[in-house]
Amino acid sequence: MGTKKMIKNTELSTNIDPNNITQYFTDKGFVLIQPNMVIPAETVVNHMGEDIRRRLLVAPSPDGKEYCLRPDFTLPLVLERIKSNKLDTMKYVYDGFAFRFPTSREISRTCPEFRQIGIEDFGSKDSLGTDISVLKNTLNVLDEVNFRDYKLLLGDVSIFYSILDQIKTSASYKDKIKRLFWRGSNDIISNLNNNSHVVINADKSILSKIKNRKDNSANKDLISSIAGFDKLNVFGGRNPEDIINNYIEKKEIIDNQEIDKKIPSMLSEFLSITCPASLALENLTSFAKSYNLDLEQQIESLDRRFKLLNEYRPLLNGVVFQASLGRRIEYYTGLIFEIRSNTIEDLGPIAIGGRYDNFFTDLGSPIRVPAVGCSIYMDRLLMAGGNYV
Amino acid sequence: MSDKIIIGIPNKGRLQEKTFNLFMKSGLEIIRNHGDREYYGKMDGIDNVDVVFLSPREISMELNAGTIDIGITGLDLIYENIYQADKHVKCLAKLDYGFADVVVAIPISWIDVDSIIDLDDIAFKFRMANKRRLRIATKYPNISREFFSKKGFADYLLVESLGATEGSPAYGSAEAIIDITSTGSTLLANELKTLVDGTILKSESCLFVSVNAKWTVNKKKYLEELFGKISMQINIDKDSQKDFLENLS
Repeated sequence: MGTKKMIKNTELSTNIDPNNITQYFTDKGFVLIQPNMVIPAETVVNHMGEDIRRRLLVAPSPDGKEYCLRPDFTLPLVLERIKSNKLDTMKYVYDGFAFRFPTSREISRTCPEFRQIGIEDFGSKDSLGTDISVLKNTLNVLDEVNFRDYKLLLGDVSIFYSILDQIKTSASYKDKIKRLFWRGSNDIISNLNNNSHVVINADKSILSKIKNRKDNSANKDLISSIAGFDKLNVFGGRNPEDIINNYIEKKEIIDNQEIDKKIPSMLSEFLSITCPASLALENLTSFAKSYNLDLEQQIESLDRRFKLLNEYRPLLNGVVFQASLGRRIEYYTGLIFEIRSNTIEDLGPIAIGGRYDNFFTDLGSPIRVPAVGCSIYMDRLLMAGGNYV
Repeated sequence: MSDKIIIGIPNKGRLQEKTFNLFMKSGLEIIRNHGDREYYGKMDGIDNVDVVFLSPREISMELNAGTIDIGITGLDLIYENIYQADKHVKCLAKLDYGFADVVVAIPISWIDVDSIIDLDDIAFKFRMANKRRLRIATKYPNISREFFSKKGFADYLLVESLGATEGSPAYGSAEAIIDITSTGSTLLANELKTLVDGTILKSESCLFVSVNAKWTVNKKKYLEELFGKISMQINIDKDSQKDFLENLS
C-alpha cells in the first residue's frame, strides 16, 4: 500500500507497552471486556452517519442483512448492555482492534484495523466525579507509558446546546444549526445564510395565501387542497400533516430572516474560541454578556472541572479550551477532551473522551444511563511517542 | 494473448440497435455467425477487431479490468462501477444516444422539499422522529454517496435496489430514490418529482477506451485504423485520442 509510514503492532517501543495500559485500568477496578467484533451495519449507519459507511468493513449475511466489523468499541458495548438489560453502574476497559478504512488525512496507518484501548464509565450519577476521574485516568495512563509530549484540549458541548436553547428562532432553523454543528462544517456562516432551503419558488401562490398564521386549520385545508393531497397516494413514510406543518415553518423562516441574520456570526464567534483554559472563563463570560446569553451554569461547571484538574496536576503543555470540540460526534452531551501530539500537528487525536448521557436511550434503553468514556488510538500514540525516551 | 482489439457492444435492446447502426453507417457491419444469441462476433470491413456482446454494466467492469480494449456503454455505469473512473477509462466520443439523467427523486406530496437543503431539513426531522434514517433506494450507491457527500448531506441510508426502483416509495421500502430518467414519465406515474439541484449526472452512451488493457504496438495501430474508419460517423475527440495513445505504457 501507500508510502506513508505504517506502524506495525510488532514495532512497540520499550516504553509504550499496551499491556501496561490495560493493566493500569484493571488495577483501578475496570473490568476487562471484549465487545462483539461484528455488529449490524445498519445500527452503525443510523447512529454514526452515512459518511462512515464508506469507511466500514461490511459483509452481507446469507439472509441479506449487512454486518460490519466494529468501527469503535462504545457502540457494541452499549448495545450489549442494553440487550442484556444491564443498566446499572459499571466500569469497563477494552483493548482490541476496531476497523475503519483510513481517510486520506490519516498519517499513522494505512491499514483498516487500528488498536484501541479505552474505558467506559456507565451509570454514575456523580457527573463531576466521573468526568474528572476519566480525565485523571487518561493522564495517568499516559504517564504510565512515559508519554508527555501532548497537549490537552477541553470543551463542553452543553454550552453550545444551551446557546441554541436561548436563540429565538424557529425549530427548523435550530435543527439546521445542530446539523451544521455536528457535520463540523467550517462554513457555518455561509451555510446558515444560504436561504435556498426556502425555495418553494414554484408555490409562491400558496405561500402568499397563508396570511394569518393563527388560523392554522384554515391554512392546512388550503395547502392540502392546492397540493392535491386527496388525489395522492405516495407520502414516502411521512404524515401529510407534518408535510404541511413543515411547509408553514418555512414560511416563518422567510418572515424571520432579519432576526436570524445575527445568529450565524454569533455562532461563528463562539466556535472560534480557542484559548488557554485559564482564560476560558473570562472569554466565555464576555461572549455570553455581549450576546445577552445566560451561560452561568455551564461556565461554572467547566470552571470547576478546570480547577480540579489543575489542583490534581498542572500540565506541562497546558490545557487548551476549544469551543468547537466534539462536533461530528452526535452522541456527546457534555465535557469532551482530546489528547493531541505537541510535535506532530497532522496527527489525529491520540485519545478522545467525553460524556454521552443520551446514547443508551438513543439506542433503545428504557432508562437513561449517564456515560463517560475515553479511547486511546494506539497507532497514533506509538507514532507520537515512539521516539520518546 | 490475442493481438486483436476487443470491443464490447451492448448485448440487447435499443442501445445495441443504435450501436449496430452507427458502425453500419461507417461501413462496418457487425456480424455473428451463429445468430442473435451468440455473444461473440466480428466486424465486416476491418480485420483485427473482435466484438463481444455484454450488458452495459459488464462493459464498464471489463473496461476497468482491461479484458476488453474499447467499449460502448453509459457514463452513469462507468462512474458507478469504476472507482476513480477517469484514471482507468477514457471517453473518446459521445454518441448522441442513450440519454438519461441520474436524479434524486422524492414524492410529489413533499411540497416542503424542492432542493437538497430542503431534503436535509426533513431527513433530520425524520431521523429524530423515527430513530432511523431516511431511506433512499438506488442502483447507483457509489455515485449517490459521492454526490451527497459533496453536497454535505449525510442523514440518509442507501437501500440497494435491483430494479423497479421508482416503486419503492409507493410500497414503503424507501422514502426517496436515486435513479435514471429520460422523459420523467415513469417518475410521474409513481408520484415522484426531481429536486431542482438533484441531477447527479447527465449520462449518455459513449465510446470508451480502457487504460488498463494491454496495448501492444499492433493494437495501437488497429485502434487508429478503426477510428479512421468510424470518424465520419463518430466525432472522436482527437486530442484525447492522442493523449491516450501517447500515455499508454
